[in-house]
Amino acid sequence: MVVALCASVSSAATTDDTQRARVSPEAPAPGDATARQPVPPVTVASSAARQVLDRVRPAIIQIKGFFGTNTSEAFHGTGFAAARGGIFVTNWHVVSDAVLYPEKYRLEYKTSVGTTGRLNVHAIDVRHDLAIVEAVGFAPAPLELWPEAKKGEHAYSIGFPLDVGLTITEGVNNGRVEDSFEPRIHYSGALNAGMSGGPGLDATGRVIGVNVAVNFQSQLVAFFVPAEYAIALLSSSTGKPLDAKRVNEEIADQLRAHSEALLAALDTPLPSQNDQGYELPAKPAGFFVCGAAGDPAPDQPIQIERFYCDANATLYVASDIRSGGLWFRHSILHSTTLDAWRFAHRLQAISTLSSGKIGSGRNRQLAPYACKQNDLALDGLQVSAIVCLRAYRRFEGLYDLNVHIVSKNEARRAFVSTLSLTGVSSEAALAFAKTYLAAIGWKP
Amino acid sequence: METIIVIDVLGAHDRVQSRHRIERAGDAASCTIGRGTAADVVLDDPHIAAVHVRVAVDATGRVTITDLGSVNGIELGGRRLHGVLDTPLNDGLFRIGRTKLRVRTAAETIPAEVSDQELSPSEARVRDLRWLAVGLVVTIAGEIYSIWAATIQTRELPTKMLTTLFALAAVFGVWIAFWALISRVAFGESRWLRHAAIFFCVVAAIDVVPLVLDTASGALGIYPPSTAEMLVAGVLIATALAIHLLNASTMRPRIAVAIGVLIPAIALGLVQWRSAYSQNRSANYIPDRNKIVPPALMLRGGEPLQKFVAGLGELKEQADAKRAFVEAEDPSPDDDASDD
Repeated sequence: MVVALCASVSSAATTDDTQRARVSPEAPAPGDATARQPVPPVTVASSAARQVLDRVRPAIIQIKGFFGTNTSEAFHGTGFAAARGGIFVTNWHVVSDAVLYPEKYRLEYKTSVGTTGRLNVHAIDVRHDLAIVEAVGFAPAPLELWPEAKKGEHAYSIGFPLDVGLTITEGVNNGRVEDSFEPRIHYSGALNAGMSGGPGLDATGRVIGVNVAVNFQSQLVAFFVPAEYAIALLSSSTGKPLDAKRVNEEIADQLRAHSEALLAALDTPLPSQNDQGYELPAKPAGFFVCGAAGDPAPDQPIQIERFYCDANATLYVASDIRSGGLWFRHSILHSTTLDAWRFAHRLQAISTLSSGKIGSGRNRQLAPYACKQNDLALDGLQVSAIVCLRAYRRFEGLYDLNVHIVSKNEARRAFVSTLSLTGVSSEAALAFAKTYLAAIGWKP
Repeated sequence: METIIVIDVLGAHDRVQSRHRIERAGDAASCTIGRGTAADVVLDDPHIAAVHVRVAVDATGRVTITDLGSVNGIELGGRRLHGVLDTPLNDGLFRIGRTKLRVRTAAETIPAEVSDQELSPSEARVRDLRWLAVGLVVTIAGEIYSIWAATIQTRELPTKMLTTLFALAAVFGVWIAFWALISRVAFGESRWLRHAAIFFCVVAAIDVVPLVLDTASGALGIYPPSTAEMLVAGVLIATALAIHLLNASTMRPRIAVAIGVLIPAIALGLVQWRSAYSQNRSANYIPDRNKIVPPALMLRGGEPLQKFVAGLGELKEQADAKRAFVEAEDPSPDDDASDD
């Protein structure tokens, strides 16, 4: 599970099928691997680390968000000076609540010597989880952004983990993550909640990336957003505070661009694989994480194999919504002993959505689904398919697609397939529904 | 010439508890009612005086009543009167103390004999038994089928069937006892058999009708809306209630049917309204109406993919309409992580 690193006091940890979550470090979610893991071995900061820290310390700020008029913080992260005039880089997920709910939250910075002041957000990049902020009244010398770091070099990360003060961790730059839709640098070092938005540095103190996420189910597998995306965002920034009226439109545009790129990266036609005679969509691109499992020693009257593929492309949009993801899964059932009646009955029970619901979308962010359901004649078999589309409430022109398919052609063999595509235009969503359905067939 | 006065002492539901016949020689007659032995009709009600009233019939057949100085007086037409003297009793009904009485004389007009179109009690019993047998057999068959269909491990069948049997017996016991009690109050007879027959016929219908409808939907590739299921359930419950009421009370058929329809209509209407309310606002609700039957039973082929996809365009308008609806109706929903 990859988790964004902004420490949040107000929101408890949430996990969902998008696999990305924001965590409250003080209260790890049940089942959260960190709660059980041993504390990582202490890394003694080398003299190199001390030199790096001394060099960059003045350019680091802690970013704090406050709810309403509270003087106790709601969330916090880190930022670093990236351009003259008090221009800092941080993560989108550090400032997202303040951008989306400017009437509810205010942002402040705190420098390494303890001075504080107001922060304005100038530009956002939801796709790469970056934001440009201006610290009013604080303009240290900017750090150098260095997009050409090499795999295997020493690397450092700086931030304010768990609000315990400025911290440097030492590790190794393991280069670009292969087979990932989101560009990421793999940093083998410690990153913790609250360090989000802090700089990932090379041994000379140049910024090679921005702290963004960590894999909780492993040790010291952390990620930076490569520096080139921070450079691109800096150059596109107008140098003025974000237009609050256009923020929703801007985010919707960025999410659509992300999803279009994601769909364009899929192989065409959609690859399929044959299981029990059913041709079903399979790994559509190298960056998908796919898996399959079954019972090797089945003693049940019905054997079920499960297959899933996830693009791992879900983006953090706000504390109560993730978007931009694509996943699908199939369950393939077959029986040699059961009669057709009981098999049909069981298939009905397995394929029917429990209490008619799917997923965990929030009513305040998403409108209800509009659905169309019918029996379809696909390539060599009859299925029942329901195609559902729901609109985002805040982001106009953005939709989620859900497709649920059950085969009806065989007395003791069947599949149930579910597709979820989030944060797309309605045209792209419905076109992909067709692509997905067209990839299904019966070739015994 | 002889004058006859009949005094009926009425109990609950105006049922006659005791009847006193007084015969007097002559054109006119009177009798007294009270708690003491001096009265012609003796009652045990402590709110009645030793000799409480006198009831008289004159030569024209007119019935009058006189208060013989009681403390509690006489209740006539819903009003309590004290010291009344030769007051006419039009419908023959009055109350003294806690006891309701009716005076009948030879002058009364009695309605014509009610012709009995119904079965004799023994015939009705045979009919009830026959329906009970049908209901019982179909119910048990239906329950066995649904347990069998839902159990893919044959070894679990006996346990599940026994559990269902006990549950059914418990519901049956409570339900029948309830209606038998009402029957007994209304008619003085429990009508166990008839209510058992109604119960099992309705449970049989509840087992069989949805199964037939679901199978037909699956075979024909129809996707019935959830309201259709609700409607079928409502009709079955309304029928059951109306038949029970007709057999357990003296209600007129029209009123029994009205009550039978109204109660499930209100209850199911509220349930339907509540679920539609939350479904119309839920971001995660999917109206999956698919019915699966064995492929051998399927009568209709699927729609061609091109045709289905061509019709998907309307989903955008529908999704936008739903967005407009929640924006207008539910601008700031509660935290809905666990909405129903």
